[in-house]
Amino acid sequence: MIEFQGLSKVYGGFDAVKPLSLTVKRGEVFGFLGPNGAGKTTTIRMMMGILVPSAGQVRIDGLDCHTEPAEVKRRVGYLPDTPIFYDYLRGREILQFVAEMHGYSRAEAAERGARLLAEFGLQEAAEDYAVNYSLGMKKRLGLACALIHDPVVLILDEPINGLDPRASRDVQERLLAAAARGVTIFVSTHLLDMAEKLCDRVGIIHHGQLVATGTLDEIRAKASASGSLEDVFLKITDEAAAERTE
Amino acid sequence: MTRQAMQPLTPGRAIWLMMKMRLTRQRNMVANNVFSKFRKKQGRNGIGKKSSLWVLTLVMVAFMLFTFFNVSRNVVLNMDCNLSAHSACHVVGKEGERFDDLERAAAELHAAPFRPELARSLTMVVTLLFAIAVLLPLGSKELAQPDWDMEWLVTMPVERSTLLWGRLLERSAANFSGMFALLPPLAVIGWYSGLGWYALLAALLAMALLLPLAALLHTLADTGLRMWLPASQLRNLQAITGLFSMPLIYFIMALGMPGASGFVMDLARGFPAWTVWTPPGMVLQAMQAPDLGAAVYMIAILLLETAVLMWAGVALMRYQLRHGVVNSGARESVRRKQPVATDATASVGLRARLSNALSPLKRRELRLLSRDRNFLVQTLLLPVVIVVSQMIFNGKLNSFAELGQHHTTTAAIAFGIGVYVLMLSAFQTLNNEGQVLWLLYTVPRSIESVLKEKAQLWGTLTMIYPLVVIGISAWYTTHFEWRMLALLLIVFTGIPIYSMIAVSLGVFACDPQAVEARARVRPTYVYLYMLLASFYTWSIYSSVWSQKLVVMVLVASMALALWQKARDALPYLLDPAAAPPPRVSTADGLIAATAFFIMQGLITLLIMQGTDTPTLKAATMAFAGAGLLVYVLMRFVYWRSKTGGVPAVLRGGDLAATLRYGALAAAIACTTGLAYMAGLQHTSVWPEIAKQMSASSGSRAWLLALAVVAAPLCEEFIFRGLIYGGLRRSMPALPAMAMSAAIFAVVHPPVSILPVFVLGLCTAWAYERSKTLLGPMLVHAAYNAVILSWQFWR
Repeated sequence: MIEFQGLSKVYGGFDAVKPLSLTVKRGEVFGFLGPNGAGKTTTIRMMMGILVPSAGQVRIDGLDCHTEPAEVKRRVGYLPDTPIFYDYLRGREILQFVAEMHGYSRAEAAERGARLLAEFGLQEAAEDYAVNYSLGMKKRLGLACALIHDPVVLILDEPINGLDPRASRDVQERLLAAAARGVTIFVSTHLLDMAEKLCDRVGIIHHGQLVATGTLDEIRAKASASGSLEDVFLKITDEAAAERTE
Repeated sequence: MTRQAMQPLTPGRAIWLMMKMRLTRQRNMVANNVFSKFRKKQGRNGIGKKSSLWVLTLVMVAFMLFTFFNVSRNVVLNMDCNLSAHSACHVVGKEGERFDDLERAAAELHAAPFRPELARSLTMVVTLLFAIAVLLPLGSKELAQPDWDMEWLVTMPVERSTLLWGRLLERSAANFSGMFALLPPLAVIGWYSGLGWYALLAALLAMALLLPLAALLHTLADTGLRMWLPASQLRNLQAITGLFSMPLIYFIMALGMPGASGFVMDLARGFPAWTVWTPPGMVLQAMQAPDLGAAVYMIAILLLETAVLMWAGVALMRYQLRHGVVNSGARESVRRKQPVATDATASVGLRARLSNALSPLKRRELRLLSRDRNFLVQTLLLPVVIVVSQMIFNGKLNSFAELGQHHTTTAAIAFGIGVYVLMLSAFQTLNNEGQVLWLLYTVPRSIESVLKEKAQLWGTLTMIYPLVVIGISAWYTTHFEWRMLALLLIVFTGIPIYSMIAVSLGVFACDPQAVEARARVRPTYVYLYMLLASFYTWSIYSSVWSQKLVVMVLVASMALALWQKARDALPYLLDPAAAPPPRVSTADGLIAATAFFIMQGLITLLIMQGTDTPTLKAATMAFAGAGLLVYVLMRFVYWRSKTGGVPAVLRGGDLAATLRYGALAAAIACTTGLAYMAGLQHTSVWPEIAKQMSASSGSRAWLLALAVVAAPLCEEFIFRGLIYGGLRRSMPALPAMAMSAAIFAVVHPPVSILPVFVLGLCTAWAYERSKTLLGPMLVHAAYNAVILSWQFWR
C-alpha cells in the first residue's frame, strides 16, 4: 500500500533522511520509531507533499505522492504532530470545511461532522473557537479531520504525544478499531509501549537512517536482545550511534 | 571545587542584560537574512535572493529620510506662510497674482523667533508625530495574543519594576517608525530656530526624551490594558489604532501643501496655547530659546516633566499588574444561543442560496473575514480612510462634485483603491493561512486551484470599491463622453488582472511561518507590485489608444507569466531548503521582450542622434542589434543556470515537415503583408511612410541580410521560443498563439501592427507544428525578405 523507493531528503550538507526503502502492506499497522530529530516528521511531510524529496519517491496505492498529490489525498488521512487551526473558526466549522473540501455536499458534511464530534466527545468544544482549545482537544479535532472522509490510509505523526492517559487510551482504541476495519496505518512515535501494543511491524530510524525493520520478534532476534521494545530500541540506537562514530 | 557566591543582580545590570538580549536577537535576525547566501544549510534560493535585499533596504531608508526631511521643511515653511497674514512670504507676482515664496519664509524664520501661532501649530505637529510614534508600534503587534515574552521574563530573579523599566528602554531604542517620524521634523525645526548644524544634535537629544514617553504610552496600552480588557475589545482597540494613524499622517502632510484646504489651517491655528508646556511643546521652546540661559532653563523643565511622567507611568503599570502579569483564562466570547442543527435548516432564503453558490473555500474565507476584526478593518476600511483623508486634507478634490468632472482622475482613484485593497487581501493569501497551511495539504485539491479561487473571490469583492467611486462620479456627471466608457473598461479589466498578479507575487512575498509579524511580507515584492500597478495607470492617463492597448496587453501577459512562475514554486512552499528547478517560462520571455523593446529604442536614438524620424536603415539596425544582444544574454544566462526546456533550433524536429509547414505559413504571412502594404498605398499616410522606407542602394543588400538572417534568429527565440513556449505550458494552442502574436505585434511600430500580428500567428503555428525554431525562422526570414524587397524595388 505504501512504498518508499529510495526516498531521501538532504538540506545542504545535512542528510535529514537517508535513502529509505520500505513497503507497508495493506491493512498493516506500521510503527515508525525513532528518537527526537531522527527524521520521522520529515519523512511524513514528504509523504504529504509538504516537503519535496531530494531523491527517490514514495507511492501510496501506486500513486506518487509528489506528482499526484490530489489523488493521494483522497485516500489518506493525516494528523500532524502539532495541529494548528484557524483561530476564529469553531471546531464544527473547521470539520465541515475539511469534509466539504474532500468533496462531500454541505448536508452530508454536516452530518458526518456531527457524528465524528459525538464520537470524539467534542460536542461542547465544537461551539468554541479553536483559539481556546487545549492540546488534547486539538489532537482530537485533528484526528476527526483525518477520519472524516473514511480514508484507506492513515498517516499519524506522534498522535498521543502530550495527551493525558485517558485521551491516550481513547486514541489507541480508535486506531485499533480502524485497523480492524482494514485501514493501513503509518504511525510515527517515540512512545514505545504504544508501539508495542498497537503495531504489527515497526521500523526504527536513527539519524535519518532506517536501522531495523520487521515485527518485534524479528527485531529482537536481529539485535540479539531480549526484553521490552524499549530495551531493544535503546540497544539498536546505541549500536547505530557507535557505527556512525567509527 | 569552590562554589562562587552568586552575586545579586543590580537593576542596572538586569536592564543591560535584557537590552543586550534584544539587540543580539535583532543582530541574529539581520545576519541570518544578509549572510544566508554563505550558509550551506538553509535559505530559499527562489526569486529574490535575500543577500541583496539589504542594499535595497538601505536605499529605501535613505530615500525615506530624504523625503521626510523635505516634507518637514515644507510643513514648517508653509505653515509660516499661511498662519499669519503679515508673513513676508506673501508676494504679488508680475501679473498681479499672489503666491507664496517659501524662500522668503525661510529667511524670515531664521531671523526672528517663531510667532506664537506658528509655535502652537508646530507643537501640534510634534504632538501628532508623537502620537504616530505611539500608534504605529502599538498597531503592529497582536494585542490579543498572549505575551509570552513577559511571562518568561517574570520567572527571572528580577524586580518587576526593573522589568518594566527594561521594557520601556528597549522599546525606545527599537522604535524605528518613531525615529523616522520625529527626527526629520525636529531637525528642521531646530534648523529654522537658528541652531545651524547643532539642530541634528538637538533633535537627537529631544528624541531621546520623547521616545521613552512614547514607549511608556505604548506599554501602558500593551501590557497594562491587556490585564483589564477582554480579548475581543483588545482586538477592537488594535483595529482602531491601525485606522487612526493614517488620517494623522495625511493631516500632517496636508499642512505642507500650498493648496491645503482652509480648515486644516484653522485646526492648526486653534490648537490650545497651554500645550507649549507639554513635553513636545517644551522641546520647541528649548529650541527657540533666545539665549543659552533660557535654553538650559527650558531643558531642565523638560527633563523634570519627562522624569515625573515616566515615574508615574511605571507606578501605574505596577498597579495594573498587581494581580499578575498575564491575563489567563480569558476566552474569546462566542454567542452560544445557536442550536447545532442550524446548518440543515439554513438551506432556504437568499443568504443561504448565496452561500450555497460559493465554494467551501470562499465561504470559509468570508467567514474568517467577518470574524477577524483586525483583518476586516485593515483590508476593507483602511483604504476608504486613506482615500477620504487624501481628498479632505489635500484639498485637491474638495467636493464629490469634482469627481464628476475629472474623469481620468476618478478612474485613477477607482483603480488605485482597488489595487490597494488587493494588496492587503489577495497579496496576503498565504499569510492569512498562516500556520494552518498544512490543512490545505490534506485535501484532494491542488494548491493552485485554491489560490485561483482566492484570486477570484478577492477580485470580485474588490470591484465594489471602484464601482462606488465611479458611481459617485456618474451621479455628478453633467454630460456623457465615450472616453468614460473606455476608462471604465480599463479599470474593470485591471482589477481581475491585478488580483492574479497580487496572488502570484504573494506566493513569493509571503513567509507564513515567520514568527515576527513584520517579517511576514518581503518588502521587495510589495514595491514590485506597486510598480506594476503604477505602470497600469499609464494606460488610464495616456490619450493615445495604441499605448493604452500596449500596456493592457503587456500587463495581462505579465499576469499570466507570474502565475506560471508562482505555480512552479508551489510544491516548494513549505520547504525551507528547496526551490523549483530553473525552467524556461513566459516570464523570461516577457522580460526578454521588454529588454528588446527598450534596447531597440536606445539603439535607434544612438544611431539617429537626435534627428526626428528614424530611417529604415536605423530601424533595421536597431532591431537586429537589440535582438542579437538579448539573444546572447539569454543564452548565456540559461547556460550558466543550466535551465531546462530551452527551445531548440534544429534538434528534435523533422526537417521535411518543418519545410512544408514553414512554406505554407510563409506564403500566408507574405500575402497578408503585401496586401496590407498595397492597401496602405491608397491611404493618406502613405507619403510619410514611403519617405521613411527609402534607403540608398549601397546599404540595401546589407540591410536585407540583417533583416533576413539576424532579426529572425533572435526574435523567434524570444517571441516564439520563450513567450509562446511558456504560454503553451499553461494553455491550449490557439490562445497561446493569439497572445504571443499580440505581444509580438505591440512591440513593433504602430503602422505595421496588423501584418505583424498575422506574421506572429503564422510563425507560432509553424513552431507548434515543427517543434523547432527553424520553421518560424524561415517564415520570418521569408516575410522580411519579401516586404523589404517590395519596398526597395517597387
